[in-house]
Amino acid sequence: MKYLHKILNNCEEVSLMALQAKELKLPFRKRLEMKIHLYYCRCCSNFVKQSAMIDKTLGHLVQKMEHEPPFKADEDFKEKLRKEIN
Amino acid sequence: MKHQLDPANWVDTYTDYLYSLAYLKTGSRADAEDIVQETYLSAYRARDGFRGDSTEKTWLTSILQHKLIDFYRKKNLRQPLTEYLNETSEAFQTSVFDENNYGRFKSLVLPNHFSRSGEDYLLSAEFQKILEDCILKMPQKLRSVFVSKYIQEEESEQICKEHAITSSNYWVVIHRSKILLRTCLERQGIL
Repeated sequence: MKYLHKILNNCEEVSLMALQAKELKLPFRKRLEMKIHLYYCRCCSNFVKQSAMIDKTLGHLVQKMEHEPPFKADEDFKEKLRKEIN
Repeated sequence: MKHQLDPANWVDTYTDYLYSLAYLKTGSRADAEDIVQETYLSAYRARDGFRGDSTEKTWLTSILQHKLIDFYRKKNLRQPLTEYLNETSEAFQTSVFDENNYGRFKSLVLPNHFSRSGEDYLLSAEFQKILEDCILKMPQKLRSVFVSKYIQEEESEQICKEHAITSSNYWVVIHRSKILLRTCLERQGIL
């Protein structure tokens, strides 16, 4: 019972493992515990879905950084820079 | 092919890019300007040493990266990231997880609500703006690691080295920052 309790009620650990699982090879037992937890816990399965969605939007931001940087430096600042390095 | 430097065009070509990166990382327009300025000055002084193995942009970005790490180190002298994580660990736990409910996620804003917004919206300019705001709202201590991973796409080993943290604390930062970002987006009614 205590073991089941541990598996079902550790959202903190499970949400962390869910992030790690994308990059690290977690021990079989951990992965199993995570899967069982995710099956029953809507909060965590929700977090996992949202996290994947966030990753996608961050990927988009990375692309944007290259082609169309999101923040524009001040024109006066640029003018100052031009004078300094020419 | 060997790459060439063309300092006369640096400001027009790379400033917004370098500035955006520095701003996301430091969260301060003034600090970002200082760092970009130092980057150009260092690059200009070192221009004779440029061997042309990388593009001009890659070269400038790596100089910026060194400046950002220096900035981060100075900023964190008083309270290293590890110390910050330990001191704020309990406050974070109680704000996100419910002790009285077996340590489960608190339903912060919209419980079990997922993606009312379609994928098109998530990639729209309006949403991207909100995403940027939410990254800027993260605690400065966490944001640097977050941006290194998700925007600069650095390897985790490299990030740990640059921020002087263990791999387990690296994951603590990633976990916390992801939860905070999610909460910020939920508050806007997006996720």
